[in-house]
Amino acid sequence: MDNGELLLKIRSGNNREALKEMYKPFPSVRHFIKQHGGNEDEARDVFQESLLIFYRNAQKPEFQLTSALGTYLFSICKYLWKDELKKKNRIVSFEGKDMADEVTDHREEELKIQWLDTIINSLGGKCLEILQLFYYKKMSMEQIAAKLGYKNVDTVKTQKYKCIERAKVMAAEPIVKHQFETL
Amino acid sequence: MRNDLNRIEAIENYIAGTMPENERLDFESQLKLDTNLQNEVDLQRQLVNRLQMNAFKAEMIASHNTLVGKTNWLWARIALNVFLGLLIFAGTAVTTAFLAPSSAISEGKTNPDTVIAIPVNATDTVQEIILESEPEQISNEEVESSLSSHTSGYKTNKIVKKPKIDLHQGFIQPFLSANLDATIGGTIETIDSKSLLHFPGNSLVTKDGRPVNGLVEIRYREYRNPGQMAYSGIPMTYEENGLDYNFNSAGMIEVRAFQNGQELQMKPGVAFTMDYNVTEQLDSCFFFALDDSSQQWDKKQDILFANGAITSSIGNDIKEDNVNKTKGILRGTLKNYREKSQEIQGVGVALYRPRDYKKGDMSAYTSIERVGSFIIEGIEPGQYIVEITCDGFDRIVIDSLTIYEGKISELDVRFVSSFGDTRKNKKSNRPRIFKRKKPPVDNSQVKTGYDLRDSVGNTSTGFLSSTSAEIGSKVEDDGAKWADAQIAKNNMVSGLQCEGFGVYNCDQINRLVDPVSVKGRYVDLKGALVAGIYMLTLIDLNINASFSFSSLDFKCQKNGKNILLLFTVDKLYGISAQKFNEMNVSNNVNYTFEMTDVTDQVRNTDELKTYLGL
Repeated sequence: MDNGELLLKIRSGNNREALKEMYKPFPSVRHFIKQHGGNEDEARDVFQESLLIFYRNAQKPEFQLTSALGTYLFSICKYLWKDELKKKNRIVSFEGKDMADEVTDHREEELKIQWLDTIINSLGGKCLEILQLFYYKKMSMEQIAAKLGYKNVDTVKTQKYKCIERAKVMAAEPIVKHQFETL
Repeated sequence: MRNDLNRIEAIENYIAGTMPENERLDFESQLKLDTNLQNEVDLQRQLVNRLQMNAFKAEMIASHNTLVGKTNWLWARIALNVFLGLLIFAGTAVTTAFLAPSSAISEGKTNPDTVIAIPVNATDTVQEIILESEPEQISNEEVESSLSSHTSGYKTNKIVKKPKIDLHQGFIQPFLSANLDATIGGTIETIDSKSLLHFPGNSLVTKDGRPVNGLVEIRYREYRNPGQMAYSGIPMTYEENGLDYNFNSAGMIEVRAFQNGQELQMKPGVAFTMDYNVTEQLDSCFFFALDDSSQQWDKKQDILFANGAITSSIGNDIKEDNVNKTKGILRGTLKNYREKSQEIQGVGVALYRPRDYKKGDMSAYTSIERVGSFIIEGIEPGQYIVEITCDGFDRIVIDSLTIYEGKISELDVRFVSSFGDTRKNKKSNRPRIFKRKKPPVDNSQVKTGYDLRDSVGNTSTGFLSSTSAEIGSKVEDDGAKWADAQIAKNNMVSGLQCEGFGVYNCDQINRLVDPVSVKGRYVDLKGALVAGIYMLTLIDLNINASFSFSSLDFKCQKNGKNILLLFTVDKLYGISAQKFNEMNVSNNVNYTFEMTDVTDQVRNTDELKTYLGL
């Protein structure tokens, strides 16, 4: 699978297939981290964070993967692991490409929007299902209507907008705002 | 409200880049001036990002073991099996040496009442290893020595306690596992049936009710055929209103959750949902949950296969609906198809108004089209496929289908489906078969007054919601193949609510036809009494289930395709369906069953499946 196909899979919601491809570099990343003082769990955490960074970027229409996926993920993992070792005041015995922008953007964005989890989790199962099918699985309204048993597309469309509306209303509530401000 | 929704739609189009150029320019002008709108756009974008990231994270975590662990797991498994094999071999050798008389039991030379014992050290050692590989193996109930001799005058078998060491490891369905982040939840796709387990975020708690965060392990194992069920010890009978029923399973799954070795439970009032891919679309199928402590099944809900949309629509508020067009593909096999008729000439769809129909209530009712009378290449004789398009209605029930072959010579009618039915009355969505007063086509050979209920089929008739036009075009190319694929897709039963962890089962329940209670005595091919029995299992090949008995008496259908299996402490014996059938068993009679030692031939669930001819 070339980079274009991979990005297409992610952008069209075929994440299961994409994940299979994205996981291919894991053994080498794990080997590297174990060679440099890490363990299996740390290798997993670092690798998964690199996947999140890649996934977030892949959603941006302007994003292009100019190197091989393995090279890209490995560079991020090296940077992440270097950062982790520094935090632990441990010796870093390797050099890596500077991926500070990618990592910092991701982490800042994470901090910025993680407060939304409270709202998302309180939307209710049906809302969440519709929103995930649409935004994550990239299913069409017709497909969602058929899958969830809605009688027509307009109904599910309306339902989806109502869910977003509900999330927005909740986001405006003082208690949620307060949580946001304290972050 | 409508304005709000339009505003959200506009923002969404803007974010997605799907807004037409002129609208986009207007929108951006407005955006520069309106800080509220800017905030809304930001919030909506962040919301979508977070939804995507959470879903991706959940899928990534859930898939990690599958994507990474395969190689390691395989080698670990091989290593474990080799290690276990050595230990079992050593344990058996020790056992044999420790209990010299036991080796002679199978030859019928010693007292069959002897209870086989296992050296404590060997048991402990091996069990410890087993626990590492099968941490949450649900043990079969230990079988007590409950049976005394059926008759006097000759020796009979005795049930022994099940040894702690399990010498039939190959028959235990292994748990598979996947990890989830408890805070954000996620979906797990099972490896065997490709069923989906959906866990909402923050839905798990510890046994003492404390919320759980971080990674949790979901373990599951599936039972899809009698070979897998045979050793499970899971009861396959059900009692309702004082009547006993046997299960005919369309698939069974056990789900558990753990964190740091501690078993978890669902938060009270919160359920995980399951989209279960059944093995077969059975008529009158239900979803059951097994109570862990009482080992009784609890019927949770009906399962309707005809159209996933039906089940899902129940209880949904769809008052705003105004269904304009619904298209469906109907496919099935004639129950009474006669070989001499090579083709189905046409299909007539009979439409019935709902019982609560009121004039004017459904003005569009009559606009339903009949699209039939065509022949499709590639389908087998006796099969039919018909595409139906219904326009402009929101309540309709299609109750029957009539197939005729040039001239009608026989009617075969079965449930088709209801669809587009907004009524919340569950009963109204059930398949209904009507007795027709007269056939739809004038033909002298039609049996008037034919009771259609007699011909309710056993076939995989289903009304499939067609999702796109191109699917319809495939029907013309290879109707049977396409329809098979659609039917297979439709085996997914969506939205099954699971309020807790345990065993769930999709089942048809049946009363035993011509039941017989049999008192058994079991000998090997040399006539020696089989000793060391701790489980008797009966499998009727006509149904997808396996029945275990805690005594050597059992109940079966007289004309079933019955196979008996005897698990002893170190062997497995079986009697074939043919041999069993030749015995022509009668109710409450003592029989001696001559069992074949199949220990070397049947060592695990796959080999058992082969042995059963499944």
